[in-house]
Amino acid sequence: MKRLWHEFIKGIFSENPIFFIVLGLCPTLAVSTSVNNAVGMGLAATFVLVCSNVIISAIRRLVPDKIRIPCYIVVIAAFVVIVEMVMKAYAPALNRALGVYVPLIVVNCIILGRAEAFASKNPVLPSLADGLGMGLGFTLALLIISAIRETLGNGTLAGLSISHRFEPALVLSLAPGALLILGLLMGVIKWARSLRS
Amino acid sequence: MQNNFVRYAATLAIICLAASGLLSVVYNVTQPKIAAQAKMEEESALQDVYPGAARFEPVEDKGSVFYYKALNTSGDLLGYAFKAEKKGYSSTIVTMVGMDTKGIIQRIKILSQNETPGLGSRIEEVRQKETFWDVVLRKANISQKPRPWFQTQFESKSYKGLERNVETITGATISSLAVIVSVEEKAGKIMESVQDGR
Amino acid sequence: MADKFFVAHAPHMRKNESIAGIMWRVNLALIPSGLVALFIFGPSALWVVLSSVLAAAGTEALIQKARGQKVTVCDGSAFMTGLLLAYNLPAHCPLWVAAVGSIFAIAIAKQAFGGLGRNIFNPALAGRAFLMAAWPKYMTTFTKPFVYDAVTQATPLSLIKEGKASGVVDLGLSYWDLLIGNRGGALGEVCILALLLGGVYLLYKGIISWHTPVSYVATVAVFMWAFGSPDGFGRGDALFQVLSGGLVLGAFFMATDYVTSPVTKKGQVIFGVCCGLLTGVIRRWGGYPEGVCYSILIMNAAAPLIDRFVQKRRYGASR
Repeated sequence: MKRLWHEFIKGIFSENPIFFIVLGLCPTLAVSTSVNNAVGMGLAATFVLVCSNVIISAIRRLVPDKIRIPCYIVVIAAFVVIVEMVMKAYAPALNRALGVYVPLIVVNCIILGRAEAFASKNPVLPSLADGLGMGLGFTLALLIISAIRETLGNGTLAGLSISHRFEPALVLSLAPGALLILGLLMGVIKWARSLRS
Repeated sequence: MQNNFVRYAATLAIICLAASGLLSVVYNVTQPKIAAQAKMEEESALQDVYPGAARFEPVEDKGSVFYYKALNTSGDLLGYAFKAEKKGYSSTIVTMVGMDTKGIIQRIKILSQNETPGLGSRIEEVRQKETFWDVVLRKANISQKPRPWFQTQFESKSYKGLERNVETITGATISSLAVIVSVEEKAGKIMESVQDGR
Repeated sequence: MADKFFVAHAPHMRKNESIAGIMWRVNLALIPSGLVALFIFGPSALWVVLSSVLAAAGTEALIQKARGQKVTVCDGSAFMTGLLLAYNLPAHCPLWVAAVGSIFAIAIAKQAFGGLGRNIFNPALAGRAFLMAAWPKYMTTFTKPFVYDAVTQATPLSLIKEGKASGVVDLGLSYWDLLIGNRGGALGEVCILALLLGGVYLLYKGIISWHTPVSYVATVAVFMWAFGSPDGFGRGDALFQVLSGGLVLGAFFMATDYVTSPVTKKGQVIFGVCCGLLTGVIRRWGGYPEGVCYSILIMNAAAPLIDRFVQKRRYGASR
């Protein structure tokens, strides 16, 4: 139990996929323009990550080493297509906002990275915990970045305007602004960590 | 070697088979829903630009929808709804327009655009009264989203002379004009073809 | 005119020249253009300059203090960044826009890279690029000259880009108007005469060398003469292209920045020519009417590479 908790919590804090491992930046830069998009993207990726981790860990002994990558890709792609179809059917607005980045979850480095680094070497339950932790860590990071970008870059939060007098700095809702915010956040986190030690 | 090759192929085939089996199940469940959503979107866009109409009837020209006739419950012709599009500053702006038989614009709605954020994209800007804090602190409920102010300018104006009567957005003249001119041109074409038909 | 100040690779000879001395002389060279702007655009130009300079100096002092470093506001480099940034702004832009631009220029483009001498990009231009992307509405609303109450007027270059005019005559301007600054534009870029006065002073004092400004301006002139007109090859108006936009300000005061441009003479010529080509391409085919800011920023990134490329080889040694 303690081990599961450890695998789960590390993805959120000490090994956060965005702030510490710095994986999956493409969707991070692209969809963190609004809180709604970020949560949608984060949860979609979490779902794929958990499912693919579980399946890959379950079949890890059956898959020969040499063809493991195509096998993992097929598993991941299947779950991504499921997410996309479900999203199209039940949340078309979100699907339109996320656009091409939903199918692109297939090539999200976090998912293949976890499959390679964790699920292919560990039993099912820890893999599930790892996937859930990494997914939620990804979601949390997206949420923080998008909250800053949406308020400062668009003057809204969750789609509602913050103040009528505030003039948003549009650059923050564009890709360069995302890099800027991500860089500053990573700096702040490093600084905070250096204070603790 | 030979043995390995067969094993690789078999493993991959089994995984692919399982994946496609799963997908086909999900596809069957979601497909009718997806189709319904797409249809609803078109319908709701039409409803949005012509709120008074009960149903819409497509009029085709050369194989594609030229415009829709907006009809009331008893089937009388109220006006027309149509898609107008033109290249703006950085994208093609597609606008759905409702217009009555005399050429008075009812409402317009931008369906798709990818203009410069903060400048051209202000053709879809809304000015909402409630702020985030009002809603969180429960001072106000989220009222219905107001309609974009640029687009409301078109309402109850004749399609002729929109260029004079609709104010362009400061710093986004090209995007604003693209919407105005596209509506004007398409409306002109429809009115012409309707008059020819009579 | 012989070069009095020659920048080259080691070995160096020590000279009694300080950072502060150079910086304040550049600031002095920028003053005429500012005074003329005050006259052309009215008192609001002064407020924009003041808020930009104060924000730049304040940010520099604050960050240096927070990092436990010696506060070097008096060396004039932050002052210069603020001044150059203000010269790139419309005269009636809100004061907070100018201040935020300066804060970004100093905090992100300069101090985050390690402070004076370590920045890759020209801080003033980085600040302007940030403002351009953040509040394009304010950055593209220019006012009419000699009318002090903020009557808007587009710049000659943007009128041409939007196809509303095709040449100087269409615009109702003469070359003389462009030379003295009787046109819409950023507050410090309009009066070419005042900028040239400052530029010549810097050349005379040996603070900048002629290589970058001359190669930059000449390249833009030739490029725009050749390709500048949609009518065909060789029909462009070179003089108009040189006198409008921020070309002179950029060529003399920003492309010559010690930190962000090549140190070798050959490198400076390459730098100027490349800046000129990029400016021409942006003006002619790009999305923006003016390309000086972006072309210098792009070339800033390439400056170390250019220096490496033209480096003198040791005799007998292979690369």
